[in-house]
Amino acid sequence: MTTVTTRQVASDNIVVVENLSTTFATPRGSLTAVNNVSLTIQRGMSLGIVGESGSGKTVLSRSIIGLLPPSNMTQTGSATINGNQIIGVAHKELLKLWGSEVAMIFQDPMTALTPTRRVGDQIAESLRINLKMSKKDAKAKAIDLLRQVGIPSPERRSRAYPNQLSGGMRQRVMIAIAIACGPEFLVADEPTTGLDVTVQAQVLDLISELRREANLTMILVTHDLGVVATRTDNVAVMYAGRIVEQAPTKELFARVAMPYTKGLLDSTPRIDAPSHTRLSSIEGRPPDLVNPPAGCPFAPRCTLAQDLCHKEAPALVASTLDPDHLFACHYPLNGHAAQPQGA
Amino acid sequence: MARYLFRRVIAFCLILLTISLLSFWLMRLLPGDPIVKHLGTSYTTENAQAFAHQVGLDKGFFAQYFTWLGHTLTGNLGYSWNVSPNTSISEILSKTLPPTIEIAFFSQVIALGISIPASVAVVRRPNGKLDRATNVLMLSAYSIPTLIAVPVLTLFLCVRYNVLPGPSSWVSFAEDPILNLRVCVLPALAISVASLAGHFRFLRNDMIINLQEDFVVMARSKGLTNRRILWRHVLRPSSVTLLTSVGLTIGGLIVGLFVAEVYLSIPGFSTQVIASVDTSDYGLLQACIMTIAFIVISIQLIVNFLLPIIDPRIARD
Ligand SMILES: Nc1ncnc2c1ncn2[C@@H]1O[C@H](COP(=O)(O)OP(=O)(O)OP(=O)(O)O)[C@@H](O)[C@H]1O
Ligand code: SF4
Ligand SMILES: [Mg+2]
Repeated sequence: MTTVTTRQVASDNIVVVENLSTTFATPRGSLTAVNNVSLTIQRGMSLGIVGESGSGKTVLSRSIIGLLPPSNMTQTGSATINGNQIIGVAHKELLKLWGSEVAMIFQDPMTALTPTRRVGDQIAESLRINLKMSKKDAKAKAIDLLRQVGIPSPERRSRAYPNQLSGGMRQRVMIAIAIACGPEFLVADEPTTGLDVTVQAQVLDLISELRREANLTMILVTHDLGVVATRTDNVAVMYAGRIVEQAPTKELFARVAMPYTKGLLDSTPRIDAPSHTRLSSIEGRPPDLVNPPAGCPFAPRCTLAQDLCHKEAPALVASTLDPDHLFACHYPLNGHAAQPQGA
Repeated sequence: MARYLFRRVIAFCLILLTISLLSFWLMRLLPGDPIVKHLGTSYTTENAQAFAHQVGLDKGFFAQYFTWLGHTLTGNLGYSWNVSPNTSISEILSKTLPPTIEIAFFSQVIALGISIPASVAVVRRPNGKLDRATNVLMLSAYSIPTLIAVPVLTLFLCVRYNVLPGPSSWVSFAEDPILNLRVCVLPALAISVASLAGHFRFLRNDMIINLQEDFVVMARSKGLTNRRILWRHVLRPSSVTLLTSVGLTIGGLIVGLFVAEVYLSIPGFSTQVIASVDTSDYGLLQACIMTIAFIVISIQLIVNFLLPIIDPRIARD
């Protein structure tokens, strides 16, 4: 898997993940939610992560910024942000990154904002802790930020509690919190699921605009292939805790290599379908992550599966058609073939 | 808001009326004859009839009740018959309520002052060593009756280490504030142990549940320390059950208060309650019951009013 990272010599990789695995101890046994994932993200780029529910998108994106509670979890491999190691370092080290260098936007702004604190205070708090601003300055900056994310009468709204705002406005508040201290890397985990269609577009436009202004790097986890097509530079497709296909966005939509990705695309009615289409219409269910099957994890559901698929798991390899197009499949589609090793 | 208050006040009055009627009836079923208790050795049939006529005990139940209600509503609580004969009941209440309310109040301050930091400390590692030890400690404290807590604390704090004034040192706050507060510490401490375990348990459990919420991860992603997250983000949304529990605890403190008042010779309200039951002092007992009902229901009202302020997700009605 190291071939992947060394090949991308482009110097400015802000995020470098190598052979990262995240395993949870559960009553049924150990559950590998992220399985040997490697990826890099160049500064200013946005990487879309797609996959069915339970494929490990949230665990992967939170692992990369060290935001999983350590209680029942073990991790191997490495992830660095701006050269700072995330995996296995002390909480104290991560505190320096959180808020100031990396930030996160959650799916449900109702549950992700503290219900008992005024939204203005929740923004100002970040400014005071990370940028050591005075109380007064932080309050003023918080109101500025609310204005910047398009909240009308920000002064009044800054005194509201989250439940007094609409869903779209809450999501804007969360974005304001995320960008408050000028982070370089943003993880947005399904930032628009649950919002209605027009608000979704507005929120995504806002994120795009803020990213352009600050050259923000982003991971965008989503179920919505329409969002992926228009808002990301690269896409990683996850299945059963692994990345099974990864490519520049245009390249992926032009020639899919993995039958699973094709299944995802086929299950979306239209590529520009704006609604958050849940990617669940492929026949069958994903494998049990506690007792994963031998061979390709998609084999039981794959129409193209052959004997080899059930015996041997395909590795993530670069395509002969485009070295930036990676896939994990013994029998790829659209004329893709694995580049010979060492090429 | 006006409608909310209006409905609450109506309900409040209805509950008080119901309680007054029920208690009026029930106390007349108590063993013990107020006339016998009042006259004692000077009991003669004539004296008895004269007294019954004087206080209205010779009238029918409802006549008695409505006479009492009319007097009470016009602020006339009448006189004690037997506990402190011929003393006005309003005077008795105004003298004896302050010490009891003061001690009850401080007992909750102490119980919260211990259970809040204890909960915050243990939820960092639920079911860890500290959590389990604290649980055991709280439960053991809970099972100590006030009847034992008061003498034991007296023995240690007043006799052995002499840091607090002993029994019979009660002075009112107006007379000597410092001494008054120092005397309050012991009974408040003794009574607080009964509330402690409950408060701790409720707060701890709710904090553990809230720690699973996304807003905690969000707070972490903002770069806040665990300490700050617990105190500033988790404590308040977790204190709804706690506050309700404080409200419900207050009424149940009366027995412990009685023990403490008797043992420490504090001229308090619960002593009047027990004495009036003992001597069938109907007027005083009725006034005591109404006072307790009034306090308990008012606290419920205040708690209900505070809940939406503590957690804005809770709607009024
Ligand atoms: N704390 C945890 N303990 C045990 N298992 C976990 C934990 N967190 C996640 N998992 C498991 O890890 C797997 C991946 O979960 P994850 O939340 O990353 O999926 P996802 O791709 O984000 O799904 P969705 O689209 O529904 O958000 C799931 O099987 C989930 O049950
Ligand atoms: S390796 Fe085989 S089973 Fe897996 S996706 Fe490719 S064809 Fe299907
Ligand atoms: Mg998820």
